[in-house]
Amino acid sequence: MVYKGDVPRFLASRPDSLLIPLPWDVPLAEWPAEYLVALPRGISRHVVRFIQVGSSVYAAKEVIEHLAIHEYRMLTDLRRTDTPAVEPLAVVTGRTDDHGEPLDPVLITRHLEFSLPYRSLFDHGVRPETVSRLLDALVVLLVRLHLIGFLWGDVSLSNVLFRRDAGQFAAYLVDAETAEIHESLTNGQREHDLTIATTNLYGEFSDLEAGRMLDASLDPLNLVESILSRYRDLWAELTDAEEFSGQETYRIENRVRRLNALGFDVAELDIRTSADGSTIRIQPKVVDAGHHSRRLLRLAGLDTEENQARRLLNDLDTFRARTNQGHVDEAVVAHQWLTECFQPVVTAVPHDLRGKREAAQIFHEVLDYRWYASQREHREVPLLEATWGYIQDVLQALPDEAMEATTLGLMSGEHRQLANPFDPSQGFTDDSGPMPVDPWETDDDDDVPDPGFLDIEALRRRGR
Amino acid sequence: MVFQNYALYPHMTVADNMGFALKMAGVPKAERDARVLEAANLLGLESFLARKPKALSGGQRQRVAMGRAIVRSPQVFLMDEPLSNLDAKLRVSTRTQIAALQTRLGVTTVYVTHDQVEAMTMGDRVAVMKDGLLQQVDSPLSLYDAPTNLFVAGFIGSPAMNLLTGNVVEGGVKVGDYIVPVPRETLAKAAGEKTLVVGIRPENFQLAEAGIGVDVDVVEELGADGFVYGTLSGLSPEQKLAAQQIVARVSARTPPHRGTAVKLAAKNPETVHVFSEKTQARLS
Ligand SMILES: Nc1ncnc2c1ncn2[C@@H]1O[C@H](COP(=O)(O)OP(=O)(O)O)[C@@H](O)[C@H]1O
Ligand SMILES: [Mg+2]
Repeated sequence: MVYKGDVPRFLASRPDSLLIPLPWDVPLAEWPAEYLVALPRGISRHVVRFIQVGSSVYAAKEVIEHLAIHEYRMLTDLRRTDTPAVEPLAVVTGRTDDHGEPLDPVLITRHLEFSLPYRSLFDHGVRPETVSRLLDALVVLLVRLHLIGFLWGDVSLSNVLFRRDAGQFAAYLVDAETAEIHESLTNGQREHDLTIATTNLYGEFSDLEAGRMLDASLDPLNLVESILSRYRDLWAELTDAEEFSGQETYRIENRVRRLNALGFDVAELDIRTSADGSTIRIQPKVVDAGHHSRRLLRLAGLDTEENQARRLLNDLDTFRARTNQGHVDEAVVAHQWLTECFQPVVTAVPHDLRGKREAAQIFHEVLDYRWYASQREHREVPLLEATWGYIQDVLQALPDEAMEATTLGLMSGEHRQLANPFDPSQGFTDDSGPMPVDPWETDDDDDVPDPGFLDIEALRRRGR
Repeated sequence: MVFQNYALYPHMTVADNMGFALKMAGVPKAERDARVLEAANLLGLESFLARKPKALSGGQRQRVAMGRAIVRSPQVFLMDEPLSNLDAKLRVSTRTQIAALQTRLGVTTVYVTHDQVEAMTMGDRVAVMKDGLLQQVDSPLSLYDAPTNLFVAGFIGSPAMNLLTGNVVEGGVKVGDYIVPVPRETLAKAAGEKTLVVGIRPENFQLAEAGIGVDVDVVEELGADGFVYGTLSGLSPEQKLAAQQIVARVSARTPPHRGTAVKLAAKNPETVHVFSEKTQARLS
């Protein structure tokens, strides 16, 4: 590749040399299709494209320099705190086109595997319960961000990606351009994010409604109001102080258990006793998400979503009871469970079907499948038998969710074709018609002179 | 509080894209329609109202997004780098139109930009920030004519003001072999400082009999005027490499040649800026 323009620079923590030969001297919107992958995604204001780099798929976003670098740093910080977000890979700066004109930098993130942008979920038709789970996932993400002092500034469905998480969803942040990190957030700052969330989500649900993709029983206004109440409930449970009589010390343990059940560990609990010992006041000060996923990671080395971990840990507990190993060290049992239960299920899945679901999700779905099969047949269906049945009856028929281009079908729905297969923000082919004249963009002769320098004499004449 | 994002909703018309927040706030339909139409008028978008956003240009999308904010009749607009994702040509024309729109709406607008030309041509008052600290708030001309410190002096104007450090001597500041005249009162404000920085804008330089000696490296002719780029005379070749560039605007009728030495003095001695090196503050 020979650059006619300047040579681009790469800001990255682990540079990927395969990025270098890409056509950085061409505006992203004009990249030839051979570099692009058409995958479902949310709407955006910048030019965003998925690009094939070696065997990986990356997301590329063209955005002005200081925002690109800011977003790169914000995403890096989020990963450091183990908050679900896309992984930043590089910022490409110093781009120029073949006339030497500067081009905006490109932020590169790794395409989040098995992620489901809300638009592709809704294109299938989504049951009201599913919408409710999506909102739960979004609220958990927002609360987690606020707990670590992260002010998002642009909460919306388009700025999260959903992944299956057992019977629930997990939400990942994609767009951190407007974000700020503070020591901790004030109530006003949190309310600010909530106001943004409600307006954006109201717009997004109204858009789905206009596209006849929202279940008729759902109302955009009710949906956004429910986000507020879910958020406030979760925030209160995680942060509110609780006061009780000095006799009721078991309530300390109760609170911790409730937080664990919600998937949070309590790192610091403030406990105060009144001078005469008659009342106790407790308040969680530091809570960390990932109670179950951390435990599973420690025991079995599996890195999963929170609810998947909950499900797998339950199965691990069942395994321990069934094999009468209550006295054996948990880590030892976990290793047995991994080799005797988890891995056989995962390896039984043919290679060409592995793009349909993540391993932990498949295991969860097999457990569900086995439960129903056992109910139906009034016997304990063995795990491997259930696995084969699941592959036959369920997995075969599922659409690919890893990142195959076949998912493009999801984006276009049955009756609608995207105007630009790489950019849903451009809308659909069915709403065309001649473009009206735009008084602001007509190319008349009173063309404004060059912007390049400050014309101080003109300013003086205008007397500013 | 009003915030805007640019993402337009593909299934909704331009009108609905502009008015959805009013709907959420429960504003009756008739009033909503009227406010959307009014905003569309201001933004030249009337004939687009019934369309879906598909195939709108970057500038048009931006205006729909501005319409979202306008229909909510805010008391203040905050525009944060609003032109950043438009191409260079559109940036200039949209800038002019936003300025005109702002005048018509008469609503106080806080406009954030990294582009000083944008700030200076659009702002009634400009606040210059550096590293999160406010440096100066003033009209564009005052920023240009009386920068409050070295940062503002060097930042505003292109080519930038020449900022030359010299020793304080009787009657002025000595730069190279030449004493740039500085009034006694100004020097008095810097009692105890041995060196000061004088600031001379390129257009305030002229070729003179007595002046700062400059070796001419490049002469750039632009119509009636030209720019002379050079370095202080009398430096060794190594010093020259590291030396600060001096820029002067000269009449193109008598431009000096590259490789020659010239003398530059302030056309108008009253507009020579003087700064403390220690505090960076303006003294003159
Ligand atoms: N790393 C990624 N993995 C998967 N999808 C992504 C990734 N980055 C961006 N996207 C998709 O692209 C869309 C637009 O990206 P975003 O960063 O939100 O751009 P904008 O700042 O223009 O809104 C998102 O809604 C998301 O669906
Ligand atoms: Mg976005």
